[in-house]
Amino acid sequence: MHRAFPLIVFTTASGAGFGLLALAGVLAVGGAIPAVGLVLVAGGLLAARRHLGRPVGLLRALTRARTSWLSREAVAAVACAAVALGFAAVPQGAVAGRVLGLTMAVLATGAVACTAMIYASLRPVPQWHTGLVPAGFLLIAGMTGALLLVLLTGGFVPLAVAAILPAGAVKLAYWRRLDELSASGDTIAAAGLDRIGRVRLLDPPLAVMGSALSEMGGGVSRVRMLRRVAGALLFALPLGLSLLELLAGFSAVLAVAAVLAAGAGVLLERWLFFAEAGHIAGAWFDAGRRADKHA
Amino acid sequence: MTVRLALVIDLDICVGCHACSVACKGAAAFDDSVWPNQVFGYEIEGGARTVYVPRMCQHCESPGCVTVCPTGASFRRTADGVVLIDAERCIGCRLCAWSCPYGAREYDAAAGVMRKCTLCIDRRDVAVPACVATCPSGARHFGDIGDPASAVSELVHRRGGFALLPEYGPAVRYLPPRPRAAGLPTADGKSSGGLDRWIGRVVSR
Repeated sequence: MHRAFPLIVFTTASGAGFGLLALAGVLAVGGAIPAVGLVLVAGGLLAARRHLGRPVGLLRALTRARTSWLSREAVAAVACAAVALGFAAVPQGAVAGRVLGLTMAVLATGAVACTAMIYASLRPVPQWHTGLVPAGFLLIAGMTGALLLVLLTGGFVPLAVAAILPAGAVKLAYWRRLDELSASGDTIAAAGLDRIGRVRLLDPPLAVMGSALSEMGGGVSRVRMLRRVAGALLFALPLGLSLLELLAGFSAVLAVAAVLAAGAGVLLERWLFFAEAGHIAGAWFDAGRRADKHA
Repeated sequence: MTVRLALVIDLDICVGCHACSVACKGAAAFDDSVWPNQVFGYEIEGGARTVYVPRMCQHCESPGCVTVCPTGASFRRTADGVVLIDAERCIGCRLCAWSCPYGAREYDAAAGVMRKCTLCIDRRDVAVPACVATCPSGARHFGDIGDPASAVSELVHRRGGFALLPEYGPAVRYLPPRPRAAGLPTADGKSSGGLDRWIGRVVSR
């Protein structure tokens, strides 16, 4: 099953990069910090490019910001990168640096919000169609950015602790909502096929589902176990390590461990984000195959 | 009055022969994996009845696939409501496939772009879409459902035609299977008419 790996890598890396840029901009931390953020964003964008079938026309993706969240994301990312270069160039403490920093923070936050809205705006994917998606993307971006900031500066540990808690709470709420959805779903009705009757598939047109469905869903086993692992890596471990740093003082080893655990945690959490999503058009294939709960 | 070109598909007549899918493949030079028209065979629960449901682009009024497209490759012609893809502008991000509630968009891996039903308006040599021209049972109709006096609108009205997921504003209409005529076998395997029973008794003697 093709799980949109380029998108998993992209949202993980660019999320952390934008998170770091936003914090650097607000806290007026210059030097290597915005450079690291930019490298993460650029790396993520290169990964996302691999998801495209025909990337030659990529620049055209900047032209539909009036309607498309993907276009808005591209515009915000490019603008943020441009401002970040300026922010890194001017000396800290100057008024220009402050203005550029705050602008960079707004654009970085906007870019992550747009990324999340690409998914949250999709009505045919009920698992994603919720405000918990942008909330989760923004909080996880801020959290991973804060952990990177701790590693790179040796300070800001309380900030990291404060960032982890709400991110974990939102992710738990997202997973609880998924369980409620799967318990109440009538997929035949969701796809509109109930208009024909309670149908059961006899004869599919193709052996495989179409483009809409190849990157999400597919019946993951051991979802609960994987969620627990993701939650431990992404929230529990970084929280424990940060609390340790709060008590015993900054330690590069602990900070590296926290960043690595959170990075692996986001990758797994994003993999689950795609694996646990389902498109309503899947009912054309699923109808009658599994026990559909009647409303 | 706005012109809205659409297919009207008679689920009562469709025999599930896939001729529409094959004709569509022949008309459009897409990669082998791309099937803009697909026919699903269903059994209706408890009805002892099979219904074949062709699925293709529903040419929605305000299509999600057009909204999400970052390059403007996806567009809807206001003159006739047909939703199309400009392959030259398409970057193959596949977001339109996710946004389509019908799963009607197909990814052409060879060209790296999305494909879909065009209602054959890009073919100048035909008056109706290839699927309509080829349907051997006459289950597919093509016309302007924006005009309440058109033949297809009349048909939809007469047969109680419906749209799939009307909240998305599709143009395509399906005509429901008609009730079984009296005397035909029902789900419990018994004949319903007295005459049938009598003939059965006579024949089995």
